[in-house]
Amino acid sequence: MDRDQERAIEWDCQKTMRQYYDYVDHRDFDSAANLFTEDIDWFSHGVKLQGRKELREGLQAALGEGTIRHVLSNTVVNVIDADNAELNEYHTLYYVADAEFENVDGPLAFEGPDRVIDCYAALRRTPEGWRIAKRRAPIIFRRNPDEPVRLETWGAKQGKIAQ
Amino acid sequence: MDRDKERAIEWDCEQVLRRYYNHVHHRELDEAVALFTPDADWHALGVDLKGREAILEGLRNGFASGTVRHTVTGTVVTVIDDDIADSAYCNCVYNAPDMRIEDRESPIAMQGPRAGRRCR
Repeated sequence: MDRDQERAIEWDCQKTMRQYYDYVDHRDFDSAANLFTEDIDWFSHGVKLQGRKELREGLQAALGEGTIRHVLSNTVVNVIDADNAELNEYHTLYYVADAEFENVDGPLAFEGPDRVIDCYAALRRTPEGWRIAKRRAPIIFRRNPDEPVRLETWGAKQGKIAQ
Repeated sequence: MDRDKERAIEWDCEQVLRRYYNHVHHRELDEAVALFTPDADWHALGVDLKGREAILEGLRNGFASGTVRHTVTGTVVTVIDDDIADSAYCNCVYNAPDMRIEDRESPIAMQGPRAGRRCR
C-alpha cells in the first residue's frame, strides 16, 4: 500500500470516530449506532455490549438525558490492510447529568472536565464505509470516582457489567 | 507546492506529534525518542535538552512513574518546504505523579488538568 492510500484510510477512520461523537453529543443515537458494524463488540465503563441493537439501547440509556460533550484529541490511526485499521484517541468528557442543553436558557455551569478516557477502536471497511467493529474505553482520570454515571447504573440493572 | 501535497505533509506531521504523546503515555520512551531527529532541540518547563539521548534521559526522569495524559488540540502545521514544517498546538496536561494507571483497577481521581500550554 502506498502512503497516499494509507493516509486516505487514516483520514476516513478518524472522521468516522469524530462523526460518532458528534452524533451522540446531539442524541442522534440511530446515526451513531450505524457507524458500528452489526456485530460491534463494545466495552466502556465496565459495561459490555454486543451488536448494534444493544449498543443503541445503551446509548439511549446513558445519554438520553443530561448533556455531554466528548472533546476528541490525539487520534492516531494504524492501517493494517486495505480493509482493517486500528485507532487510538483520548476523549475528555464534559458532563452534566441533570440538565439538557437544548432546554435551558444559556450555558450550563460546570467545574471542569469529568473524565479523561483512553479509547481503542478496531475499524473495518464495509459497503457502508468504515465502521467501528470493536471499542475499548478505559477511564484514566475521573472527577468523582464514587459517583456512577447513567451508563454504569443501567449496565448493572441489565446485567451487562463485565471485567 | 500544490495543496494536495501540502495537506499530506500537514496530516503526516500531526500524526507524528500525536504518536509521540501516545508513546510517552504508555512509557514507550524509545519509540517516543525515535520520533525526534538525532539533533533535536527540546525546550519545556525551563529545561533544555539536545539530541535523542538527552531527551530519552529527560523522559525517563519525567514519565517512568506516575500517570500522565497530554491532550493535544488545535494543531496548526505550517509547511515550509518538502522537508521542513512548523507546528503549533494546545497541550492540556492531566497528571498523577504518584500513581500508575496500569497498577490500578479504577480510574485516578482528579479535579481537572494540571497545566495548559501552547507548544511549538
